[in-house]
Amino acid sequence: MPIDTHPRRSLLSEPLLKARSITKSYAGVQALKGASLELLRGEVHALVGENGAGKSTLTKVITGAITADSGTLEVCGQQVARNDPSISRSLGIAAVYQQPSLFPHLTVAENIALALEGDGSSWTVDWKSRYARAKELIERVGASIDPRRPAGSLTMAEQQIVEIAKMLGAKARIFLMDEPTALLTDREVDNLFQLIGRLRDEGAGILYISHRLEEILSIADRITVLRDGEVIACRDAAEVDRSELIHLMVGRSIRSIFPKREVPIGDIALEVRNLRNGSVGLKDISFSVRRGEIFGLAGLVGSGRTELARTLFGLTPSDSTILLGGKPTRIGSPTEAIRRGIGYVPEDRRQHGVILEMGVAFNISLANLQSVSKWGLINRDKEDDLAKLYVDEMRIKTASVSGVAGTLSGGNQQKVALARWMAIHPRIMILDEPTQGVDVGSKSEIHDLVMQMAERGVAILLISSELPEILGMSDRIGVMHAGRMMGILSRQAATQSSIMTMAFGHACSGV
Amino acid sequence: MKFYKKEIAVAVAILGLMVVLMFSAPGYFSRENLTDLFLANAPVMIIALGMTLVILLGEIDISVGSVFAICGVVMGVAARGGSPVAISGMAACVVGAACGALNGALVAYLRVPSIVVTLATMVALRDGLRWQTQGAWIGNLPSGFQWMGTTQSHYTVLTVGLVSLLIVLTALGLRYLRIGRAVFATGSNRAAARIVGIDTQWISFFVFTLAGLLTGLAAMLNSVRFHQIPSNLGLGLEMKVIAAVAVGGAAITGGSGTVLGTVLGVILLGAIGPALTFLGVSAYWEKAIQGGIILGAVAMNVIGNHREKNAADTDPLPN
Repeated sequence: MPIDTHPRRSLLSEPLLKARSITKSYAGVQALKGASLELLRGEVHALVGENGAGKSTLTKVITGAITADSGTLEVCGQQVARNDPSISRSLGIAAVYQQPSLFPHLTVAENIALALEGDGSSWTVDWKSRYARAKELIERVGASIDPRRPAGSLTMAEQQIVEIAKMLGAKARIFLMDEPTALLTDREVDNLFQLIGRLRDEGAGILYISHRLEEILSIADRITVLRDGEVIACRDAAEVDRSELIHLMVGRSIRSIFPKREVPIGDIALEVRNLRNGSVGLKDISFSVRRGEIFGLAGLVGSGRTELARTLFGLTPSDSTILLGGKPTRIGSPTEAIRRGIGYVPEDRRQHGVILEMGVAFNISLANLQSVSKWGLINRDKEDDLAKLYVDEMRIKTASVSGVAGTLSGGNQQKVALARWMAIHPRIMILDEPTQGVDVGSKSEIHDLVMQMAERGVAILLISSELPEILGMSDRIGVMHAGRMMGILSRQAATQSSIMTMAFGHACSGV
Repeated sequence: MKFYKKEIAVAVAILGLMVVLMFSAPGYFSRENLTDLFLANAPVMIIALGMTLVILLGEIDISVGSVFAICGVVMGVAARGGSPVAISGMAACVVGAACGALNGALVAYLRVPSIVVTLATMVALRDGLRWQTQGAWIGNLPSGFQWMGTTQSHYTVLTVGLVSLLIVLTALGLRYLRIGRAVFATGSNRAAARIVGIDTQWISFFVFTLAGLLTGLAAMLNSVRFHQIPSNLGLGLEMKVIAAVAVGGAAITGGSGTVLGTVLGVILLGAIGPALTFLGVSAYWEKAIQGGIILGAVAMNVIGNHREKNAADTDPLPN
C-alpha cells in the first residue's frame, strides 16, 4: 500500500482525511450527492448545514457507522477500502457526541482503561499504571479530574473531557465533534474550546459540527457548508460572517434573523411575587409578563430557569401563589396549569416533549384531547383535522398526520411539540430552549410562530441559552443566577455583556 | 403499529398450523375439541387483555397466576358457604381487583419496580393460600355452581360472548378513550406524559387494578368448569399470559402493542399444544416448541424495531 502517492508534497501538508464524492441514499432519498471534504493537520474544520443537509450522514460514513454508496475515503493519503467503526478507530478517527458515552458506574480510570486495554494481554489489572495513565491523559487535555471518581458523578462537560482524553490515549488524530457544546454552560464551552485549541496545536484535525454559528466563527479555521447533500461552499472562517453562512446554508437570505415585530402589550397575564421553592432552590423570584409580551429568561445552565418553568407549570409545585390575570392561584399539577391556560414546551424534546414512537396527530392532540372527544370518546376524524390544521399552518414536514413523530427531523419534531400547546389556545406559553438543536430554517420558522402567538395576545416566557435569540425576541429580559432573579432588563438596555454580567451573579447597575 | 405487520405474521403462523392440521389431523376441528380448547383458553385470553395494558405501560405483572388461584378459591369457599353463584363470582372479581390495586399502589405510589412488587405478591399470595388451605382442594360445591347453574352449552355461549365483548371493549378503549391514550403516552414516555397533564401514577394504579379485576373474572369463569377447585390453580399461568402478549408483538419496554396481537398470540400458543397431540408429537415437545415460537416472535420484533430505528436515525426527511 503506498503511503504517500504525492512525493512532492510533504507528509505534513497531506490532508489527514479526505472524503471524495461521497454519495448515500436511504430508501430512495438521496442524503449525500457527491460530497467532498478535506481535513488538514492542525485544523478545526466546521461542518454546517440545516438538519437533513447530510452532515450526520457524512460523519457516519467517516466513522464507518454506515457504508457509502460510492465515493472514496482517504486517511493520511491512504485509501480506506472498507470501513467500519473498529477500522475507523484504528485509523485514529474518534467521534465526540453531545452526550458522552461513558460507563457511569465505572471510574474515570476504568473507563479510559476499557478503551485502551482491548487485547486483554494480561490476566491481572495493574491499577497503579491505570491511574497514572488516566491522570496523565487528563492533564494532557488540561483538566484536573480525579481518575478515581465514578464517571456518572461528573458533569456533562467533565465527561466530555474524559471522553476526549480517552481518545487521545487511543492515539486519535481525527476528532469528529457533533454539537459538543449543546449541553454545556458558557464557561464549560470556553474550556472545551481551549482543549480544542490544544488538540489543534498538537496537529490533530477536528471536524466540528454545530448549529451555533457564533461558536463556529470563533473556533473554526475553515467552514464547509452542506445543503441538500451537496457541498455548497468551503471558506476560510475569516472570510465569512454569520449572515453569509446562513445564506449559504438555506439558499435564501433571511433578511432579519429574528422576526421581532411590535405587538400591543396588554394586561398582566402572569405575575409572580416572591416565589420560593426550596426543593428546587428557587428564592424570592418576582416578575410579571403581559399579554403579547415576550419575556426572555436568561441565565447559565443550572441557574434555575428550567426549575422556575417547572414550578410555574406545577411539575414541582411550590406553596407560593402566583397571580393569573390578577387572580391569586396556586398551581399544584400540570393538569391545573393546563386548565388555567398555561402551555409548556419543555427543553430536550426527545425526553420530555414529543412521544417519538407515536403518530403526529397523537402528539398534537395529547394535551387537548377534550376538544376532540365527547363523553371521553375520541373522535378520530376531529383529531386528524386538528392535526392537519397545525401541520399545514406550521408547515410541519410529514408524510401524513399518522406518520411516526420519531421519523421527523428535529425541527419538525419541535414544531409538533409547539403545535400540541398551541392547540390548547394558551394564555401563557412557557418555551424552554425552543430552538435547541434545530436547524437554521426551522429556527426562524419557530421564531415566527412565537411572534404570531404574541400577536394573538399570548404572554410568552422564553427561556434560552442563546443570547442572540433572547436579545432578538424579548421585550424584557429577566436574568437568573443561583435560583434568584438578578434583575430585569428592558429590550433597549439589554446587551450580551449586561446579561452575562448578571448571569455570573453580579448586580447590574444603572438599569 | 403501521400495517399490523407483526399481527399478520402471527396470523400467518396460525393459518399455517391450521392447514397442516386440516390435512393430517382433521379431528382437531371437531366441535368438542374446539369447545374444549376455547374454554381452556378463555381465562388466558381475559388475563392477557389486562396484561397487554400492563405491558403497554412498560410494567409487568407476574402475580396473575397466584391471584387467579386466590380468586378461584375465594369463589369456591363463598359458594360452599351458601352464596349464590353470582355473588361468589363477584367476590372473586373484588378480590382480584384488590390484589391488583395492591400491586398498583406499590408500583405507582411507592415506585417499587413492578417486577419486584409482583414477584413478592406472587410468592406471598401463593404461599399464603397454601398455608390457608393446607393444600386441600375446595370440594362439596353446591349443585348450582357448575356451569353457573346453566348447562355447559349455555355457559360456552356466555363465555364466547363475554370474551368477545371484553376484547372489543379493550381494543376500542385503547383506541378511542382518553385513558387509552394516557396508557400509550405513559408507556412511551412517562416524563412527557406528565407534562401534558396525565396523572401517570393514577394510570399505573388503574391499569394494575383492572388487570387484577380481569384475573378475578377469568378465575370465576374457570372455576365453574369443575366439581372441585384445586388450590394450586394457575401455576405458571403468568408465563403463558406474558408469552402470548409478547408473541402478539407488544414491546416489553412499553408503548407499543395491540389487542389484536394479543388475541392472536393467545390463539397461537393455545392451539399449538393440543395440535401436537393430534399430530402425534410427544407432549414433551410442547414446551420446547412454545419456547421456540416465543423466541422467534420476540427476535422478529427486535429485528423489526432495529430496522425502524435505523430508518428513523438517518432522518431522511429533507427539511
